[in-house]
Amino acid sequence: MHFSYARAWRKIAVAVLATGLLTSTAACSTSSSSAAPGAPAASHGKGTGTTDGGGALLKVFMPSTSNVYLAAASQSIKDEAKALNYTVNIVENNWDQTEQDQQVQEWLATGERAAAVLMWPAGAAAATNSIRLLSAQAPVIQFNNLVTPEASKYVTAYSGVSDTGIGKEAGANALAAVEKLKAEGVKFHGPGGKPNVVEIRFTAGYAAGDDREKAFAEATPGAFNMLAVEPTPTVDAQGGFKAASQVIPRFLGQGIDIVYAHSNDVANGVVQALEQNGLKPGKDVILITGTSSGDMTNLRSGKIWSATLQSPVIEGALVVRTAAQYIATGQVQSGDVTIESSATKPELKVEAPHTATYMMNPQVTAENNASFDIWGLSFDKLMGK
Amino acid sequence: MTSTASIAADFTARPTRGSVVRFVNSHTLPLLLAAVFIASAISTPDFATFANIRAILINTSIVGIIAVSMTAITISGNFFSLGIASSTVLAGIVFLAVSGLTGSALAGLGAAVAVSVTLGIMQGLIVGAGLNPVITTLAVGSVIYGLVAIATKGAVVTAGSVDVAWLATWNFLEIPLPVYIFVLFTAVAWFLTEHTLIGRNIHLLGANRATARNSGISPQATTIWAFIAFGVGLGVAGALNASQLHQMQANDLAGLTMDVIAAVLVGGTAVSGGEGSPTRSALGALLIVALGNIMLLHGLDNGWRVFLVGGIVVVLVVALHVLRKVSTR
Repeated sequence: MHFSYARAWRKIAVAVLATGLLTSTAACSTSSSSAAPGAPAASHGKGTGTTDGGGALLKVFMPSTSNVYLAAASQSIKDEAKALNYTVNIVENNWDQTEQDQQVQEWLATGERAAAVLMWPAGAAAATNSIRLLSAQAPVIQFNNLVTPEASKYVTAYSGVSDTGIGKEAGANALAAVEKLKAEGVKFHGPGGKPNVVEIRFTAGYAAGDDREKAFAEATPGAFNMLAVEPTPTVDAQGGFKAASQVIPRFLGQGIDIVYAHSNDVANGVVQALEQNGLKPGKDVILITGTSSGDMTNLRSGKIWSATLQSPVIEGALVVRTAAQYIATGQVQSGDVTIESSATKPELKVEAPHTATYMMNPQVTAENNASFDIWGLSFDKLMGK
Repeated sequence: MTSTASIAADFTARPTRGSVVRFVNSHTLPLLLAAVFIASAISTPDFATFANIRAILINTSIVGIIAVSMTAITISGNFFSLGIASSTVLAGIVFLAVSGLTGSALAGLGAAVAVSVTLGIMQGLIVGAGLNPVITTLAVGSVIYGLVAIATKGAVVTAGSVDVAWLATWNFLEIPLPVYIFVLFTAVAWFLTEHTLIGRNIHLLGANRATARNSGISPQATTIWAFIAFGVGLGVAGALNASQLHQMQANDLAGLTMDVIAAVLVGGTAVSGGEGSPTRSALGALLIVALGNIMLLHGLDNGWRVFLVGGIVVVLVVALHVLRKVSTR
């Protein structure tokens, strides 16, 4: 009796597990629309002469849209492609370069042709071989992760976020905050009246964190007394809390004037850690952050002094526009360009894109976030909300 | 030729040596922890400050609650749950959503615990039926992650304007509530595991499944109880984590599963089951956080801290394993 009961349970359990595995596998890989026959890739130096895609395929490889940023970027890619008459097919991976490599090989084996491949590498440092293979089939436009020197000869153009730009903007915001507070008579705790700074950076070894740390330091030469640069174990609010709650007590005696966190999401954890140590963010400590990600309540209440706009909607649109310009002209202009913030979306011209096109990174504060207007979008719309 | 006297001497000596080894085995962790704290208080500037000790306790509390609640699963011979991170995220999201809808953080906490316990019962049923617990919990964790990602579309979930932060910030003697909940949770888990029938059944099931079954103990019912305890811990920890940060999203808590497993292992709970204690898992969590903190105060880079804490965990787990083998000989 007991034996058959157990066997029945085993069968049920196997069925439940099988369903679960299928569901989870499906959740990790979604494609946006039916694949359409692709157009031949624009050969170098010879474009189609128009930004109208004529229904040609843009194949996209990117990490999972289980993250709000990627979900918004993915939707923006679809919207922009539709506007330019391209068909989009997106293959997602679960933040795993090995999985993405396999997806690339499987797609190449199908023989399907694409006008261009839009590539967000799961791990740029290990994606060179996939990019090389893709580049033999179609021009590769990379986005979000900066192009590594090894992959640079296979990537036609880069388009999207600049971690250096974000670090630079955060540095400028920190300097402006210090000047404002100095004018109000605030005294800082560091030697010679310099502000004492703690940096809560992205996880050790994460290239975006390296670039943001370096750019912040270069934008603020000698202006601060850097007490510590502490990496988060994970790039989220919990990681920020974990790192900050250990490092803040260490420097309570010396006095902390500024905390620079690499994203607003991480800074949400820092806010909690500061408060648990009896400090008032926004008053006792100035919190300067990078990417405007995560919950914005602390920024809107003034606990976070400023963030830096990193819009997934702009990034998604930009990578499609870069691909369309390359397909139209068959050429790339050398050098890089950072696009300006403008209230209206710029008209897409038939001209060669730059080797690297970076999105704008304006400051976001409690005062200005409600009045944001870039490409006709509010702050929330720019963040895909 | 061995004399009768030497045999007698050897025979009488064995329990004494065994007792010493058993004493060392069961007290290694508390002794080590005490030694680490005393040595650090003397040698490490800023270690023995109230703010630093509080930071250690706060950082231990959430991982500790889950480690304590998972100990019953490990003792029962069902290894670990590999779906900890996604289950805790789900509990946090349920907590925030229900708190936002009802305006009550307590209602959110109740809902988070109810959902986690339900999932615990489901997993307990499957594992109790004989399926591999590692595969089961990994698959369930994967399903939960997928469902959370689909339901939230990757967005950050908050409780809106409802104040949920008090659950993490309310304090007594400047020690916040999660630390007291961690201590209370450990005490209750210790009592249930060591001094109740179901606790003894969990130990016996892990020590010898066949004997437990022959003794009339239901492996399925016992496993379900272990998973219920785990579900309560996940629900509470998820709610506390979400209240601490006022937000949660599908990709959060990526490193949580390994932190919890490390705490249970450092606590000396036998992976094969039958041996272990929630109190020791709590101390294991505390030791890991304390070691990281000491290295931070000494200015060691993150890479060195991860390397050294990992190395110490390996040495401790091996040492406890050897001691256990010696004491059971």
